[in-house]
Amino acid sequence: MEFPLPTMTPVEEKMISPDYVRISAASAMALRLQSGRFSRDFEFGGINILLNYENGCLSDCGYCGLARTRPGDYEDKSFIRVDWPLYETDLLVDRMAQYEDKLTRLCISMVTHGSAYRDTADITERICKKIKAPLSLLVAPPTLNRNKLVHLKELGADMIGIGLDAVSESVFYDTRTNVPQGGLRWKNYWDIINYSREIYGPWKVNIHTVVGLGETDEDLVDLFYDLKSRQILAYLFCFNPEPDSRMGNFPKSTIKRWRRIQLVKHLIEEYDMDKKALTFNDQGNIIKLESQGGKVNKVLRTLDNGVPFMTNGCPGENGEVGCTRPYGSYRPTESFRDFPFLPATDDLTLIRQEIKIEDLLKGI
Amino acid sequence: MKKIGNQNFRTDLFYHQESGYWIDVHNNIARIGMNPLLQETSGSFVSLKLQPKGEAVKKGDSIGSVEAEKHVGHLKAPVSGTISTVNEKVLENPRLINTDPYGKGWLLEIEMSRFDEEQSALLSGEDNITSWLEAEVAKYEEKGWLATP
Repeated sequence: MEFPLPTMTPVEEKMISPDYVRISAASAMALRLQSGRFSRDFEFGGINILLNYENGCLSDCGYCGLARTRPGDYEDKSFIRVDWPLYETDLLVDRMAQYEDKLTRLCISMVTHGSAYRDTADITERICKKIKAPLSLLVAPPTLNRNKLVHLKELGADMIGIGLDAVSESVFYDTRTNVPQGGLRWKNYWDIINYSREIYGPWKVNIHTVVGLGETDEDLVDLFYDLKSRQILAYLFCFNPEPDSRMGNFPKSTIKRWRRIQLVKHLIEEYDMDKKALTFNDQGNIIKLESQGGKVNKVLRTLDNGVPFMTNGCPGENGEVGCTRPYGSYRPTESFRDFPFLPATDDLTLIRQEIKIEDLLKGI
Repeated sequence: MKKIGNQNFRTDLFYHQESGYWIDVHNNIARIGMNPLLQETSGSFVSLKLQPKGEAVKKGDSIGSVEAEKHVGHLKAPVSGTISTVNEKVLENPRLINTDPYGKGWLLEIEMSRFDEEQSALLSGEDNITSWLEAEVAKYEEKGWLATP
């Protein structure tokens, strides 16, 4: 089913998609379009591209910097707390070709807008003609249908991401208001997830799940099991309050809860941990993890060398995480919520303190 | 002003090489700020904390911290003395460091207590400053921290 959204006719002098796009600050640094550095040195080659329109995104997610009702002009809005500089699309594609050996994964993020599908297709085509690095699309379900997903695959996209963000239907409707012409529905999101899985194949579809929007731990755990059973990837994000957004004053999840969710997700996905190993309290939050012996015990001892705490992102050609979103869910002054590299020994020491595994095992 | 790399630099000031600060000395008061290369490679500043006026500091002591979008820096005193003024405007708007590093983006002033001893560790003179900054630009380019045309 298609949802009618206003289509804007591009005016030549407007710096809008498809001829202009925004890219993340980290992407601009990686392509040396912008000077800058990360607090810690690591290789970075995940390029995040965002569609740009004068009237912006028509969605209105309470936690998002681009939300329609967030105060301020769209062009001045931050997204994930940082600026997204604007570049001419063709210049960007040429620059990506110049730095192709550094690139690990590319991603176009749609916004909810009447022109978003058409422009995503256009930009996908421009990129795939010149760049070999794999391309994901983070799609806006209200703008899509099955045929459009098929066409985007034909143009060269190999993975689809869906920003479900809220892991339960009630949280979904609590955190979002509808788009002006309707179409923002939990079912619509799941239709697009199911079409994507069917069209793109196993482990080629990912669902963004945000910790800290009001969900319970059990909501998260149930979704991890469900997605795994369908060979769909769950990508974990930590709610990071965006100033002036409707949820700008909401607290972030505690680091203890966040680390435990990271660990439990890893145990479910990589070690087939049975849900019976988890005890939830009346509020649906994890209070105890039964060590099941063997491999799970080893993970609890070694923390799997830090792998559970790395960024969930689409892979590069070598299979390693190619989209690492450094400082996407936390400020540089905070602990890394997810690590864009394998955590070092000192990081693992800190993670152990944050996660309090002994307490988790004892049910304290 | 002398253009080196992407930025214009003043060569009539002292520079502290380790921290990258410029230091403008008048009547034993050192006004301190970040040099344009340091601000450029740090990214857009979003938060700044400075030690308060009246705080006595030794060279190398913490005088605050600064947070950019993807980077956090710890600020250390380039000279010893007492903090005599803090730039309240830059505390309110840390992006002034990016937009006007020698002007409105200055950080604080220190009334120096050991300038005679510590002056020799500071860089001065157009030739010395130019050589140092050219080497810094080359180093930063090698690290991939500078935008290229």
